Amino acid sequence: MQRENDLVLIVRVNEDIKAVVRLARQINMLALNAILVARRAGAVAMGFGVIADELRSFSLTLTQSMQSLMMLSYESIQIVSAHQRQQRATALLEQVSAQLAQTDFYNRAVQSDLGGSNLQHSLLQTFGALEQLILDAEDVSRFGTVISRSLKIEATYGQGFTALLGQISLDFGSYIDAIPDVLVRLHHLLKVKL
Amino acid sequence: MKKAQTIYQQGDHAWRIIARDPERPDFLIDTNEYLISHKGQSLLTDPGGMEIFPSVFAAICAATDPEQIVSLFASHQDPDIISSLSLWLEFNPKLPCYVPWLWAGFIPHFGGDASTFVAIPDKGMDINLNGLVLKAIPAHYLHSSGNCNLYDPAARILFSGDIGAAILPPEHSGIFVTDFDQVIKAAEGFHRRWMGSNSAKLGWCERVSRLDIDMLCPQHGAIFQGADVGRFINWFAELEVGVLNSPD
Repeated sequence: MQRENDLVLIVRVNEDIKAVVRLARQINMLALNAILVARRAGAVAMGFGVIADELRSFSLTLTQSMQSLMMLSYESIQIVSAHQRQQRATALLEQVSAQLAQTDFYNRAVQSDLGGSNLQHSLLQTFGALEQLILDAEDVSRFGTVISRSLKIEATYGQGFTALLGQISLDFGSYIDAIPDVLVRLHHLLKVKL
Repeated sequence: MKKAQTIYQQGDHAWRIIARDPERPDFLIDTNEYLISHKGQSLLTDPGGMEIFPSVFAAICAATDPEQIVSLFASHQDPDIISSLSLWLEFNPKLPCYVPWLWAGFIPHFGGDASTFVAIPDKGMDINLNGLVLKAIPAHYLHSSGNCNLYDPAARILFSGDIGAAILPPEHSGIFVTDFDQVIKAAEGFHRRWMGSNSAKLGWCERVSRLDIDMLCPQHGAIFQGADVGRFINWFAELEVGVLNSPD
C-alpha cells in the first residue's frame, strides 16, 4: 500500500471505531432497560440485574477504549499530513536536482531538514500504538462475550419474566457478537501497514 | 483540534461548521469551514490552509465519513482558503474543486491538475450535490477580484466567504452572533480595508437581498442569523469601503 493512502486508512479505522462506539451506546441503553426490567421481576431476576449492570460497565469501558483509539487516530492525521507535505517537497527537490544535474543539492536538502524518515518512524510507532489499543479492545470485547453468555443463563431463571429476559439477552448477544468482527477488521487494516 | 457542529439539519440534508481550534497558533488566522451534506454526499467550502488541514480533517472524521466528500469549493484564491488543496488531493486525487474562473490558473500552484478544477463563470453557476442545487453567487471584488459565495436555497443559508468576517476576542468565540453591534465593531475596519469596490458591494447587497437567507455564514468569525442577516446587509450597503486605514 502506498503512503498516500494513509489518510484513507485512518478514515476507515475511524469509521470502524465509530461503529463500535455506536454498538457500545446501544448496549448501554439496553443495559439500562434490562436493569429496570430486572427490578420489576424482583428476586428471580436479581442475578440478571447484576449482570446487566456489568454490561453497562462493559459498554462504558469499551467506549473509553474506543475514545483512546479515536484520539490516537486523530494524532496520526497530523503525522500523515506532515509526511505528505514532506514527500511533496522532496518530489519538488528531486525535480530541481534533475534539472540542475546536481544530486548533492538534493541529498543535502533531504538529509538536513526534511526529516522524512523520522516522520515515517513516528507514523509506524503511532500505527503500532493503535494496534496495541485494538488488542486491548479485543480483550474488553471477549469479557463482554462472557458476560453476555452469563446473562443468557440468568434469563432462564426468570420464571414469569423468562421470555422477556431471554429476548433482552438475545438483543445483547447480537450487539456484542458484532464487536469482534469490527475489531478484527480494524486489526487487519493496521496489520497491512506494520 | 477543531470541532464540527451541525448548524442545520433537515433529514439527510445538513450544514456543519468546522471552527474554533484551541490549539491553533496565534500567528494563523482562524477560519470557518462548512461541510454541506445531502443524501450521503458532501461538499466542503473553503477547506482552509495547509497548516490547519490535520485539525479540519480530524474534526470531519469525528462528525462524519470524509470519504463522502465529493467536491471542494474555493470562494477565492487566498492561502487560508485553499492552500490545503494538495493534501485533500492526497486523500482523494479525484476530488473536483470549484473555483472562480479567474483563479483557475493560480490555485493549481497549491496543487491539482487540469482535471481538478471546475471554473465558475463570472455570473455564477449551479452546483449539484446529489440532487441538491447549490448556487455559486458572484461576489467579485469582495474582497478578491474573482470571488463567489455559495447559496443553499433549500436550507436558506448563504456561505458569504470574507463578507461578514470579524475576528473576535476569545471570550466572544461563539458560533453565532449574539451581540450584533459588537461584531460589527470588530468587522468594520476589515470590511473598509479589504472590500475593494463600493459599486461591487452595492451590487452584492442588491443581489443577496433578493434571496431568502436564514443564516449568513462567513469564513471568519460568527454566523449572522434571523434579523441580523438583513441588518448586516443594510450596514454593509451603507459602509464606505476601499478605504486605506493603515495605522501608518
